[in-house]
Amino acid sequence: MGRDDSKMKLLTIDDSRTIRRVISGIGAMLGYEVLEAEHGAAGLKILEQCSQDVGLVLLDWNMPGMNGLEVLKAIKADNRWQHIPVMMVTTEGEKDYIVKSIQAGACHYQTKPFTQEEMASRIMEAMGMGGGT
Amino acid sequence: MAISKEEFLLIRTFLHDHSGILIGDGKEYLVENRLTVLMVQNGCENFFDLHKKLQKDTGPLRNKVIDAMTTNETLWFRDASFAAVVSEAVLPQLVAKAATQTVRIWSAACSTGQEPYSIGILLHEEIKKLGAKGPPVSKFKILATDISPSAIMIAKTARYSQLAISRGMKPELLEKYFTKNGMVHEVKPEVRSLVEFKQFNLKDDFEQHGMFDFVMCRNVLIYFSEDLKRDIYRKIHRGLLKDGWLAIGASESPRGYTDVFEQVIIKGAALFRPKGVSKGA
Amino acid sequence: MGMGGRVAVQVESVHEALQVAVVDVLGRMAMTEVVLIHRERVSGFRLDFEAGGMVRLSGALNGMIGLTCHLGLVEELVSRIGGLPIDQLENEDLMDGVAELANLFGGWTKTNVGQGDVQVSPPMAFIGKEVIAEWKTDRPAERFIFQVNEHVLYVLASF
Repeated sequence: MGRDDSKMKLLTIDDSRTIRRVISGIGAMLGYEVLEAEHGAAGLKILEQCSQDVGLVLLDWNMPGMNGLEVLKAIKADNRWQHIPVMMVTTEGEKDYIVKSIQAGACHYQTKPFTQEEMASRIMEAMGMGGGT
Repeated sequence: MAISKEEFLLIRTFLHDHSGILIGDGKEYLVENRLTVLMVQNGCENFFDLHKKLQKDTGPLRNKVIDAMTTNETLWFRDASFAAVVSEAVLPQLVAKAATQTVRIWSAACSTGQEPYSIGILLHEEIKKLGAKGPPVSKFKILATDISPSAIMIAKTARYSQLAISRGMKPELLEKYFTKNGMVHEVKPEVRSLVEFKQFNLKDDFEQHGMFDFVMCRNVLIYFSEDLKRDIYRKIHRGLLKDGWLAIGASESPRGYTDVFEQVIIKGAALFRPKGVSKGA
Repeated sequence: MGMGGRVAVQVESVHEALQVAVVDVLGRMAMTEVVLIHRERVSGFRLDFEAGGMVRLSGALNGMIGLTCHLGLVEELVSRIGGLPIDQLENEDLMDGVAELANLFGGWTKTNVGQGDVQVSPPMAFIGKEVIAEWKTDRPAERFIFQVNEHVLYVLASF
């Protein structure tokens, strides 16, 4: 894989601390440290500082300030970060939103609500875990 | 609702044919909520396209669809009476058997692993009761299978959140058999090493798995049609040793299969033993 | 006056979607079983228990979706969803949890009614022993009463 996935961190960008907490819990279950940002600008700032540690971004759609699609486009437009996989995590379940996200470079699209198992398996998939054993 | 009746029926039939799962009338939202992402990711315009792709697919997409449509909800020791009857009736007999042979247990719809790990824990408890006279734990093999590849992936990690743990795990057992790391509880190696996980579809041939002393097939066949249920019960019967046990969910009943299974009520919970000689139908 | 046939059908489809939303959201996020025990028409959109939250839907669908219940249920749900023991939850957690539930109920309903372009507002939420919140509306509200473990959850929709 060319990177040490076990040291990679997850970054959740979501204005709901409940959802950030859920994702942190699932990350911990899978052995990842989870960085938290409550809006897009804060998320991009974290990437500015430590994008090399971030193995996956989990991104909400509806947030104050930049919306998720704008954040996604900003990540994909910056050659320092564009390699980082981004998973949308949102209540928006309509096809249009999904199409736009995938076209803009999202690797996965997880609708809320989700079970812990669903989210865990999506993260494992995105982080390239689960093979072998 | 963006899914049409025709699309819903096509997907529903596909799921039934390939996984046995039966989606009820009026559950269009379930298909739409769970499969729209896969539809888009696979370049499909609508569910007709997705269905077409599924027809040609040899596995990967099919697995993803089945995965998205199966709910993975399991509990530790799901119901107390089941745990009690297993501890009191089944395990002592299996432990006695283990003095002379390897004992094989199958958790046939293990979801994210709670059931096989629970049985592993109960086994340890049972063996400990016997002290030095007890058989080595290595005499037991637990096979755990599920149709959902992601459920199996999670089960293998043996790590559970507070929420997942809170469903039925007794504090004293949690303490004994899990290592706590922050908010995560990890099953200890002595239990993990008993269990082997594999993805498996109950519609497929059981013979690859060999013979078992105890089969748990709980709360899964409720999603299957009558024909498929009958077929699966017969396959289980063929895979059970003569003195073996079958456990199904408390709300299930192998009605109409009494020709192959005999019900035994122990402490208010029902278990089943195979009738007659295990031979091919 | 009154609702035209088409609008009435639309409102009923919102109500149906909302009921499934509550069961699905709490089942998946909190692993909790939810049972609808009663539904009734009420004259106003009142959130009159210790915790409440709501979102507005606008566009092709116009209305409000909200929930209200005792603090005990909010604590239990937020604790289950977020994986924190109840005694470690702060007011901020409870408020955010109620807001997120309103958001999830609204978002789920919007997606599954599929009535075209609908926006869900950011959620509003409150907690507190003495609060009663009411939104004046010219339409009646439908109140769904759910049993969640030993608690009661009231979910309102006004469309």
